[in-house]
Amino acid sequence: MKIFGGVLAVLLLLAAPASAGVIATKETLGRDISVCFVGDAVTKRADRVKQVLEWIKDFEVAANIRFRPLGACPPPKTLPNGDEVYEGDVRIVIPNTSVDATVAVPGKQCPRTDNKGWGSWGTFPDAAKARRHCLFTVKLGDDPWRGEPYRNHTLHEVGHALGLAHEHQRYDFDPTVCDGIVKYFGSERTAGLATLYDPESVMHYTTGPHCKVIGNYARNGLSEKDKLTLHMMYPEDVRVAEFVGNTVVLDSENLWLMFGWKRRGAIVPNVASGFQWKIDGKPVGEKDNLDVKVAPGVHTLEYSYKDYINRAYAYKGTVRVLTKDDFTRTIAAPLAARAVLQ
Amino acid sequence: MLSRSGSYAFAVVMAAAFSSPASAAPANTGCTPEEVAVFNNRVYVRCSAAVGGVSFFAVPTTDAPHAARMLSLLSTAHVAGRTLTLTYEADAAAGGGASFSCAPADCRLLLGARFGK
Repeated sequence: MKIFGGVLAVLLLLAAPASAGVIATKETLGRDISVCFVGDAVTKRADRVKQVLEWIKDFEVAANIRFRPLGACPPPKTLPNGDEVYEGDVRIVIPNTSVDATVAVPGKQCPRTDNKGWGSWGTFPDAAKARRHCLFTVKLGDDPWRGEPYRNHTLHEVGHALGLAHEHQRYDFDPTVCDGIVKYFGSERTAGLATLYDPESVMHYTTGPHCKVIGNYARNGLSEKDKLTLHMMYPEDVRVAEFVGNTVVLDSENLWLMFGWKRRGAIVPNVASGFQWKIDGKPVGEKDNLDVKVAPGVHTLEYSYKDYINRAYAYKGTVRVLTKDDFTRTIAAPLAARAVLQ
Repeated sequence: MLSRSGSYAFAVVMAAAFSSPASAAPANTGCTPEEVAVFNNRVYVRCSAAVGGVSFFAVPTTDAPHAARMLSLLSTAHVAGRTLTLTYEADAAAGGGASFSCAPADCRLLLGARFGK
């Protein structure tokens, strides 16, 4: 209980400054993201730096993100007007280094004069002024401070820097996950809800055992919906329209295909629109799912849509609609024969 | 009994997930198979959509029985137009891909594969 009491106290300290899988902004950091550590962290806390860099590779697995470690953050460049501009897309400060992260963030024109204590936070991609003019953009404590840091806490704060907002602040937060009301849980947030509510998200605050959430104070890594949200925010270089379902069907069946993001838990109207399904060049559907009867034969399937910031996705392939006899002859029988031989 | 598409509705090959010495970071992804191929050193599936820049998932042929099982499942899914769920080694360095021409830029060691109804 003492441990959870301490955790809760730290969480409440953390809650205020970083109002942040919910998409905070339509801006992203792009695919190639440079990461550096301010002060003498790279030499003084080399193991922690290595750990953070290792853990944020989880983002690279989930989405089209490539971190480029710079080591120590380079000094700022001074503009003709005297303002300072910092390099490094994600500039991380950690405790017990040469930088005091408990005071106003250094940097001429840096707006983070409200910074204090060791509540961690991350700067959203659209906070242009902070990203340019502040010494650091991610403040990452060693939570829980005693013992091994939480992997999910690192993912949470860097998640903010990538554009993820707090999961627990969404309006449809499920109050039944906690026995009792928890401060900062549930609010008015309706924007950017990319997936169904996810109590397993690293972007969800963890609290005591009375809440059935995993959240930022855990070590299991990104949830499946975190991964989906990142996948939608940071799409692959070649944007392929995704679906699940069978593209070889009997003529007695409908061709039924489902929008892949929806299958994974996306809230479709918030993340994609403009669905177009075509068979042999003719439009057959404008919904996220396709459910149509198609004549026997081999047909061309085209599927396209746009995401929440109008990026286009497309797929082109074939569907085969077979009579029962054709299905037995071309699919079922050969597979059965092969199974016997093996 | 393989009378129709739904009759072989569930198939799984997961043995490699537990036999591979380097399965440090398994991850899952959906896959619409675009291509299934066999080379002397590997069997692979290429998915229509990449994840994290990766669209090839491969197993080495050094474990021939397992590679054969994987090929059977992958080709079945491809021929039958099924969407796969793949389990793979997320850590490019841990999968030993270089030894069987599975490049870290776009290929990962395939640990398991399944598809269902």
